[in-house]
Amino acid sequence: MGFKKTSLVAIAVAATLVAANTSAQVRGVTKDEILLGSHIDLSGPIAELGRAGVNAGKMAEEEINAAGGIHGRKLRIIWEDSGYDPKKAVLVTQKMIDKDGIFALIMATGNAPAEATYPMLIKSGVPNLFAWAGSPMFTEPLEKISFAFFPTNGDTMAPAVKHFADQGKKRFCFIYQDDGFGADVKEGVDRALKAAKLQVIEEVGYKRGTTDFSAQVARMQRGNCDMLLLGTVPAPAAGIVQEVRRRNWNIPILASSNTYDESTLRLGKEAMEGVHAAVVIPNPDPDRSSPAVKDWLKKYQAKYNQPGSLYGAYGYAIVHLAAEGLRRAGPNLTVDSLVKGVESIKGYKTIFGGPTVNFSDKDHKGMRGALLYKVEGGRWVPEGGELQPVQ
Amino acid sequence: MNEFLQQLVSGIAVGCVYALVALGFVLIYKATDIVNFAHGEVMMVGAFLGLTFIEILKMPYWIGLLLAIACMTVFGMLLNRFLLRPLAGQGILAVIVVTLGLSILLRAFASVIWGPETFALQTPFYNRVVRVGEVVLSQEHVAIIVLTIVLVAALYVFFRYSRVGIAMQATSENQLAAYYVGIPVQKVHSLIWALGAATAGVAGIMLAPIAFVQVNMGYVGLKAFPAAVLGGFGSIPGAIVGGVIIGVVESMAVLYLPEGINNVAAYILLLVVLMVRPQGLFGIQSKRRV
Repeated sequence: MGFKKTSLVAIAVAATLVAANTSAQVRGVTKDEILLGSHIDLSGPIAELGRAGVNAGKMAEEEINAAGGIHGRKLRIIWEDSGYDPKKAVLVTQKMIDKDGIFALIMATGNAPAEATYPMLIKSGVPNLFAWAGSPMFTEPLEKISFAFFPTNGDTMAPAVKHFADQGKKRFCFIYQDDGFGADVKEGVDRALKAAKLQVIEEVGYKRGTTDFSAQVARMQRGNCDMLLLGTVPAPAAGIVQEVRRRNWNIPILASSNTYDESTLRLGKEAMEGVHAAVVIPNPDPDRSSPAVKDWLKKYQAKYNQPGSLYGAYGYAIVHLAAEGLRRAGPNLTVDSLVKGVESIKGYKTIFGGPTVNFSDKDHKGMRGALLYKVEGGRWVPEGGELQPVQ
Repeated sequence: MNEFLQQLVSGIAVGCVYALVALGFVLIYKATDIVNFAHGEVMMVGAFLGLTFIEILKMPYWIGLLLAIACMTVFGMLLNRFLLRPLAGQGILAVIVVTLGLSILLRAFASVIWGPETFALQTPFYNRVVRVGEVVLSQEHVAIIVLTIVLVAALYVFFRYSRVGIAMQATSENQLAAYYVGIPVQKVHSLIWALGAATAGVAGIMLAPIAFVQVNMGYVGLKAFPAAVLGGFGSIPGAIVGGVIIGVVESMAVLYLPEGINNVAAYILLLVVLMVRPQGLFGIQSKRRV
């Protein structure tokens, strides 16, 4: 009992000291360094994504520092492994806040881990910058020190659906995965159709692990639709598209952004021809990308001896966007100046293309638009320019 | 009407896959009193073996299929010899824990060996259709049904007329009595596991073109288990009929029932059947004189 009391007093004293200390100096910012932290999966189910993201993030970090850093300060990022486990993410984030004293957390990766660490960031006043997760939690309701980069699945799907509604499609049918992810896509579909004064004619969900989609497709076929929407991940998307084509049903198909993946093409084969997908950031393609992306691919290959991927593109883009915000915050870097700096970012484009990034004091969402891609000759190819967001 | 027939056939086809997995559950349970909770994963291993022979080693489909079945019989025997036989005489709980553990282990091994991605398995029936009048049927579905009928007929002949088959039946009726009349019970157990694993392997390879091959495909076991229960756990015709019923109900429910109910329709049916006939459709109620 006595011990507990003394330790409480000690903690209180320490806390006061820390508070006194931070009031004099901004946590994680010194004369010549800005310290950021990130938690990302390096050992769990999305470790492939995490490793590519960290590789490319480190590349961006080195480039920024080689160019003289940000207002004379070098950027240093601590990359912690979350294993895609919310509990572990909370532990490493606590360590980064208390022990390392990071200025901001960037690129918190994965919906569940990033959502788990969000409340402690807000409580400790550590900015949450550009989580690599599509959760609406980080921007709704608006939180001063939290900025998103990655749009929600609905935000990406809505502009694409609206595009086809504007082109004259009227009868939309919708197959979606019956979970949080599918609900997120559904929100975007409903939002877009409401804006076009339409509604879904026929919709059906499927459980994760469903083996056969013939019943779902038969039900859609009954709806006499003129466009089929899919809120799916790659394997079910390929299964559904194959089933549709097997029935000689020549309906145009638009799939949500998760479907934009090489594995969908590998699994769905020629049935995938002509399928559209809403896209956030396009795959860095060595054949058709801009010179900047080709250059990036070359550098990545040289540094890590493996080809740069879409995952790498995300990591690279997020660190550069963070640097842009820090630059705009000016030489006198505080949490407040950072918030003002990021809010002043308008019309920003990553080198990889993708929707324009816009922030303001009322909107911390970043990307809202989408790109449209289509399968042609067994590859994803772009269709037209950026689609405008649907409010 | 066409829509109904089309859906009926695809429901029966998926039901056949459930039925084959359920058959494995029942075979092993009847003969050895073990409920193998890893049976869905055994099926997954079969599908991955098929993938290895057909897609990776580029063998012709039928040769790859036969090789995969051969490997599965050996795999089944090994499982029995090194995992289940040492458990003889242990409580039911130990067996449950071991088979559940085995299912986790198999998923992990598959993920290490073949990777966590999803793979497509090319079949001779890929994306082809059979037209019967107005009705368009997928060749994959028809092939599954035909293969299942052939397999079940072969199993029937085997159990009814072959010495080994009759020995297996005897063992599942009464192990002790079988032992006394000179049936090598351990060998029979081994063969039963081989047979169970082989049918699961066939199911896995047949499921591959519609559901793809991936580490989590073993969750089909969650459909096959109710199928076995529905038919009356322990009845071979029951497992087949139970599987087909679950497949058809599932498929019809998605088509005709409102969104939300369709996903649980098969389980509701199972509950109703169990309430009315607790022993299952084909189960024999064992009554004891008091």
